[in-house]
Amino acid sequence: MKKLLGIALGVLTAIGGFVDIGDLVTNAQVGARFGLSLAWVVMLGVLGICVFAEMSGRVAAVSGRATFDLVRERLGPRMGLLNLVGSMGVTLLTFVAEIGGVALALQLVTSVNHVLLVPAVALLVWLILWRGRFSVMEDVLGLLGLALVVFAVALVHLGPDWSALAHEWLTVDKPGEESWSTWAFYAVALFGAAMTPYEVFFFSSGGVEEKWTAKDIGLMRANVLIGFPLGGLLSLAIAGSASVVLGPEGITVDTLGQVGMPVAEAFGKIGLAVAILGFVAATFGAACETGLSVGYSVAQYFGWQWGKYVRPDVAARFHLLLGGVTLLAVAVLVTSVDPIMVTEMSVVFSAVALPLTYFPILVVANDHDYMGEHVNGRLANGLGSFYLVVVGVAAALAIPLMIWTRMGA
Amino acid sequence: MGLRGSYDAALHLLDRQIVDSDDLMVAKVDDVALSPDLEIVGLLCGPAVLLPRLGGRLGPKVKDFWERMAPEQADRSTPCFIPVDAIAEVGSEVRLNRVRQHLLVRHEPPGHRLGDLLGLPVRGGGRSLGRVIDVRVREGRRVDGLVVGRGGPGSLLGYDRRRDQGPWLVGAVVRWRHRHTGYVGRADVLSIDWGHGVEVSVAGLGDLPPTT
Repeated sequence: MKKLLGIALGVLTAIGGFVDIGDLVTNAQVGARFGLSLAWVVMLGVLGICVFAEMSGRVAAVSGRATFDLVRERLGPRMGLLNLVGSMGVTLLTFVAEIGGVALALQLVTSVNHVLLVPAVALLVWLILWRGRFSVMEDVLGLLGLALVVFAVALVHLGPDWSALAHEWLTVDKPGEESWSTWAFYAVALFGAAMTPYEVFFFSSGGVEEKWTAKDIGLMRANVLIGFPLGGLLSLAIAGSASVVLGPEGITVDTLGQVGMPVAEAFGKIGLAVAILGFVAATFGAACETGLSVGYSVAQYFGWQWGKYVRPDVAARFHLLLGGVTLLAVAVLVTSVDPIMVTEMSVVFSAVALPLTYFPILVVANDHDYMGEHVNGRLANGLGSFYLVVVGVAAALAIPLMIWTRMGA
Repeated sequence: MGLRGSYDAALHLLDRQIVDSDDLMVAKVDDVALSPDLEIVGLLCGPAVLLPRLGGRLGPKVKDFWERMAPEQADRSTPCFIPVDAIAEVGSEVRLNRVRQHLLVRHEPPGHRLGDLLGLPVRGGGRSLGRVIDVRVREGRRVDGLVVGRGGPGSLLGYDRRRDQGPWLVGAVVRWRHRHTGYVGRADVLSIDWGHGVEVSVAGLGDLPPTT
């Protein structure tokens, strides 16, 4: 019974924790402009993150090594540093976007300008990074993030023409007024949002934090293989409801408020309140995850003590870094830069950084010295190789498409 | 003594996490200290050895920059040293047999760095055979020979050890890139000109012996 509860809790937090500001914004934008014609990309991305999260979780459980340990070990200090700079740039950008996202969500409730809310939000994030228990942070924010299920309920309540939606999805029915190049740009952005590298940094380091052993592989797999796809379903519900409500009106999504409009349309104020609760929990949880990921990766590259399983003074450099990163995020946000724009940038650059992260994981997950009997099977290797090619293509196309389409304008 | 059997030093030792006897993290194996007759005497860590290993034009530049940040420190370019008898076990991490408090002291024993051996061009019979991409160690500490090939240090990624190591795609690409990679035993090494190159007495490379 206790084990079943453990699995249920893990799955629920995986669902609630899957969606972050990048998923919220990109899915709503895509839903409003392209309907469900890009749903395949979300599904492709979700399967991809399942494959690599499972691999990195398995490596962490068997060897106790988190992802950036592997990067430094297999790619060496030179490529490792390049990788660190690249993926840290992206993760920092995401961290800024998440804190901005929390502030935007709170602005919807309080009507206080989000720039004024940023320092308070950042202070709260830092306090949790410094003092909060790892499991409490993950469980509470993950469960509150489940409030986003309101998007799925709203979609059903709105009673859309299901067969038309299914037709859009199955036949990749791009609206006529959009060009294929913008379609491809948003495909890369959606893929980047679903597969953001910080998710595996956080997932594998979290495994080390919670002291997983080979015995926990089953539980880890259940979390990944049930929780992530259900989280992906939430992403699709956001896109679907945006396509039903915003699409016909020709509204493009530029604010977080517009992301919540379909729910307001379906359930009024109460629905919107639940959606905003979901926004706050999802972005707040992701802010903690991205902040920690920056600390994890830098500490793992240089070999410093890291982690919340030790007292902060034992991992002093790690916590100093977390404080510095939070200050940096505040500094960026108080320039009144638009967090939505930061989000759009972060998902595109995520796509560029993908191969750097996923290649070393795939190599080490096959290493018998490391993994013993837990090396990749044929399924993991087949999917892993396939995704290595896919992320390579996405990474190569991201920047040219961004310039060509002027960020999907 | 934690260093046992035969292994490839760049693949199995370099860049691994060092943890102390209480499971707390100490540093990375930023480099490995070799005695003048090429026996592993300890681990080196700190920017003094990490920065030069960044290689290319970047490595010397950042090392120079880092030293200029505190020109008054005489030991700025000396790394921290962990003697080989402090190592309890080498697995996916390097475990020490002592606690980390006051463990690291700035010191570099006379001899060479593994990082300086990696990447050196190898010549034999008047022609270039490639570069040192790894160093095969026997009996835990003794350098037994050089793995010579055309990639960067550690670029074999461990794919030389088992034919069936997957995934097929990555294995095939790595093996194809390293189709000219081979082995030179210690006895065939005529001279090592540190900073310049290695001269060997054979004109071709032998097959890689299996590690045990």
